[in-house]
Amino acid sequence: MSVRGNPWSSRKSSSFLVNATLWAADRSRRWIELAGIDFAVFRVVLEQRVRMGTEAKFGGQPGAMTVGLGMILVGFALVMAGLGSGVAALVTRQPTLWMWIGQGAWIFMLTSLCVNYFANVLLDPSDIGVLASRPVGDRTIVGSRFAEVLLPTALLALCAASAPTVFGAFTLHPLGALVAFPLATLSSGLVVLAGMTLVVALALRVVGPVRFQRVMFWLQLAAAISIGAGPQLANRVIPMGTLTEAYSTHPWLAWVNPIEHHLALYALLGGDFESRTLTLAALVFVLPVALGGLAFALLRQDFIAALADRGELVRSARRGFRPSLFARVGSVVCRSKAARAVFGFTLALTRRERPYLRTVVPMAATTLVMAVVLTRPRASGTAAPMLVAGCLYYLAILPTFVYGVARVSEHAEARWWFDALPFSEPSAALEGGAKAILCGTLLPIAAFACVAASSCFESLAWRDGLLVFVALAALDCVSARFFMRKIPFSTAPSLQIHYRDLVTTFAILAVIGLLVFVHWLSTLHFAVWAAALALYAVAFALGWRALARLTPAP
Amino acid sequence: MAGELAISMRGVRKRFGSKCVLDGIDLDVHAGEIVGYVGPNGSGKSTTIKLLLGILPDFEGEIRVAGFDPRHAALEIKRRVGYVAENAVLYESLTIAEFLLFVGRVHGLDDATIERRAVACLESLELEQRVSSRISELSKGMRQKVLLTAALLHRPQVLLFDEPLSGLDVHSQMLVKEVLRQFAQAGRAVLFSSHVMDVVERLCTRIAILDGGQLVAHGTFDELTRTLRGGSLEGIFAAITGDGDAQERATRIVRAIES
Repeated sequence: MSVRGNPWSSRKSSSFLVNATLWAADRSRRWIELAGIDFAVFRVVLEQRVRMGTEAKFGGQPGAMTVGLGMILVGFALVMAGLGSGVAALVTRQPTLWMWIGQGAWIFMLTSLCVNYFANVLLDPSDIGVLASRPVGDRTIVGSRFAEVLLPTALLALCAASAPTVFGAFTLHPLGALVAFPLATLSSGLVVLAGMTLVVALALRVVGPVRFQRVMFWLQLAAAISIGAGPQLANRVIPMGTLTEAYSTHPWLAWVNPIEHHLALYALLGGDFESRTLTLAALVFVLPVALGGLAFALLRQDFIAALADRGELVRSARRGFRPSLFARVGSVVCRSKAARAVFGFTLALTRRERPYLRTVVPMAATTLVMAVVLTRPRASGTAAPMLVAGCLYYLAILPTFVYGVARVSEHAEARWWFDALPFSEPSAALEGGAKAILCGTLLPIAAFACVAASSCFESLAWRDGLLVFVALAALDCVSARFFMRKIPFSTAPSLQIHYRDLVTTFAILAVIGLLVFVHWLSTLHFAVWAAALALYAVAFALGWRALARLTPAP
Repeated sequence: MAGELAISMRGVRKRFGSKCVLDGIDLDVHAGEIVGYVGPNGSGKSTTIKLLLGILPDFEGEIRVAGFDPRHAALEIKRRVGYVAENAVLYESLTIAEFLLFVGRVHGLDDATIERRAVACLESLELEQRVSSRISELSKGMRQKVLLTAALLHRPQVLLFDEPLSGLDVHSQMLVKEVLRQFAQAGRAVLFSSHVMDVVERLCTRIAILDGGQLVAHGTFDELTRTLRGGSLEGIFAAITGDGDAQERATRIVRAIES
């Protein structure tokens, strides 16, 4: 496919994100140069990255969601989350609750987005092969990636601030609400982004370029689990009063808590000119600049070297031709040699492919930890058995993204092997791939969660744990039919989401509800439990058999 | 008469963990020279080039490229070097023109200069008709031509070419060799890494042979044939790098496969 028009003239982008990002970059030139960035090169690299993100990967793909639509969905979720803060303002007329709920939700959601998405943008090695040999400095590359996520963050900040600002303006001090909340939201957004960049800079400084990617992977994993499960775990382990007490007995905590800075800004705009209020309010502006400045000061060198290193994220076992325990399963569960071959190939890459590890491991670990943690009784009470089962059934959501991510490879150009090798049955490749993902990722996670919930926390009877496991295994098998349409690890990375996948995801959510209902019925009588178990076992057997008849996408 | 010193390596050592991939490399490349850098797979050729560019900053010894130390002035080096990588990565979704505009702009060139130089290169490489094609549609040889053009756009003082003729048709290979000769005559230094021994033999003014991370032979082709008593570079290379009897090893492979 050729591009029409004069090939040498600068193609004007139609993307709002590209144009707005460049417009903002041009107006921030002085600040950018102050950070030690070569502005001319920065602008070229930034334009390239935003264009690639918005046009190349998404443009013209039938059935694919655009970046804009994805942004609108996240923005809508943030507006909805902001309503909680707005309602708190309406009901209580308390600025403290209003600010804590609004900013807490925003910081939590943005941090989660940073760990799962923005960190991948910052650490993306895909264009380093092009840039490493060109005169582009480490700071310029980091700066362009930082700027790439800055505008989406600002737009999301506007969404997060809309409801609390409007509601606050009617019920609280109008000037304080109209000015303080949007500024606070932007400030905390910058603090989160700068904090993430600072973590990257510190990790690079401490471990050096050779081990950087591996360390960042584990950090990202730990952060994702902490964000997902941390609040739940804290809620169950630490009594609420302890935190409140600590906060009141140690007033200095206000200095390190951005939300207290935001409250001070609100108070300042409401007429409180005490020196403590002034100083805390000043931190709204100083903190993001200080964190960002520190991050860029530390990122003088080695960032390109760290990303250019194609080392593995996790250590690989030096087995030679000796198969691992999981790999041996392939020869048992796959009937044809072609399926066994793809089973081994897929299983190996589920342990090596960076896009898979970076996406699946944090999300699976988070879902797993949350499912297990939620089964633990709260500090002040006991866990309801139905809630425990419901949490475990939620693990059925994993296939919705695991199969999707398993299509993608950063070495997709190796796909020609599949075209060149004599596959007599195209479905054999899909069978081997699907079974490898089931046996190597999905079923072990389900088994671990059920055993953990049944044995460690004793909040679930063993027979209930067994029922949940068989139900999950059946659903994982059946859902492969809908998600497993391409040979694993053979498609170039792209963030496209198909509407069909969304529909299947909603269908799975509905099935999870049904499973919870059946689980409740199974607690009423042993016969119902036995019938449900038999039904799930049959569904699993049928689903497993159907894996040999998967049809590839055209 | 040797020109100005363009590349200098003194006692260069590079380790990846406990594995030493370069062990005490001493090599100079002067302006006006084409130095062939040859060695078996995994001998450290590409690692050397990455060290010269400052892509791998952690090494022992001293390196100077165009007078700059890659540990402290990698950017200055990259401004003066044209690099063709063995396994180069390109932006697949860009057209040839868009990619060359991107590279040229990063080097600080204005669009008119980029277009003028790129069109001249692409016309000679018979790629001007594909200038609006996306890189993902190009064959290996066409990609190599784009890489060569991108490496020359900014008029580099030093050329670091890692298998630059890979995938090129015969006409393009002849053209690139002639371009390299004329660049060298114009006072530029070229470090030319390749496995095609007869090209290295005929094109390069000096040849450095690397084996197991060490420089095992170094000199002009005449010096190498005199001291090592070989008739061709291929023969000298096989003798030095201890590849042994190819026929015997081939027989072993065929027997293993046939059994």
